[in-house]
Amino acid sequence: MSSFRIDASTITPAVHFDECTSRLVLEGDCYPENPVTFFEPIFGALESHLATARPATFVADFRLRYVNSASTVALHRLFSVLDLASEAGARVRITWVHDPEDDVNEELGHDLSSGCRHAEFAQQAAPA
Amino acid sequence: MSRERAGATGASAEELFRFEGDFSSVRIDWLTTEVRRRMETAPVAARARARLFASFVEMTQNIIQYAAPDGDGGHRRSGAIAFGRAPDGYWIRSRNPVRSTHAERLRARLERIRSMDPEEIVAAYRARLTTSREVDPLSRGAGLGLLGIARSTGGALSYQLEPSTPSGGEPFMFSLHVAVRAAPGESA
Repeated sequence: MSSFRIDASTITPAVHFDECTSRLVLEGDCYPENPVTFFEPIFGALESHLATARPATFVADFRLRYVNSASTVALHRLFSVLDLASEAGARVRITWVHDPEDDVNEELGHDLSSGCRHAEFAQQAAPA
Repeated sequence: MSRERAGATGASAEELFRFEGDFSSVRIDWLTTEVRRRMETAPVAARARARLFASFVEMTQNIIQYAAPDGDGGHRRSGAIAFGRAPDGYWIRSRNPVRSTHAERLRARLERIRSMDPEEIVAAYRARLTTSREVDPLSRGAGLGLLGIARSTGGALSYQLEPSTPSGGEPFMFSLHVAVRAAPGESA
């Protein structure tokens, strides 16, 4: 699996996974009724890239608006995969950008990052 | 003629949006686009908007996922969801039939949540998220949905679960009422 883009829909975020720069960006709303279907290609590409290319650094940017509970579970798993890569030696930087008026999303970034033991995490408030 | 209807209702001055009808065929993207539009024109105070939207979508997806089908053997799942203004913020109400087996599960979960204070709700939410990979086969969100609603509303939720017949027959009617308070200094 190589680099890919998924366009945003009303209920799913735009996804850009770039193998060359080792970067994953998710941007938009995230409340699909079946997150497994939506997230599976992302996990597939990410896990294969981390295992085979073994990048020295990896950057993940999340600019999400509303995230439903089922997608929160998927994001928690995504953060775990990134944290494991960091534990294995890669420098992993995760950025969570939330709207300054959205405290639900701000808390979500905090909750997801609290499970990270190795990856670097930064949270920023920026207007949507 | 379709029984579905959506939009602003003039029936109650406090009600800003209502949808009732068949949730098996409702398009969530259409519904949420309509809700965001209503929130902007209503207008809903900025900091309350995210909390109101989050609980609204979670409650709508719960109906889509868990409502019992209507008793005519078809796929139709009738339900209703609405939100409006309260003196100190906003309210959201949903109503849908659920199977009796699901009703008991819901009651247990909601009673547990209602016994917690806001700090306990946050702790329970985080604990549930940490163990979310040991997935609950009946719940796609691993039980985070109701805890998330309780959390973003400070635990201000109440419910009713009643059998549809006096003898306790199927299905049960489930109503959920959630209060979303405006942030301090914000007027609803």
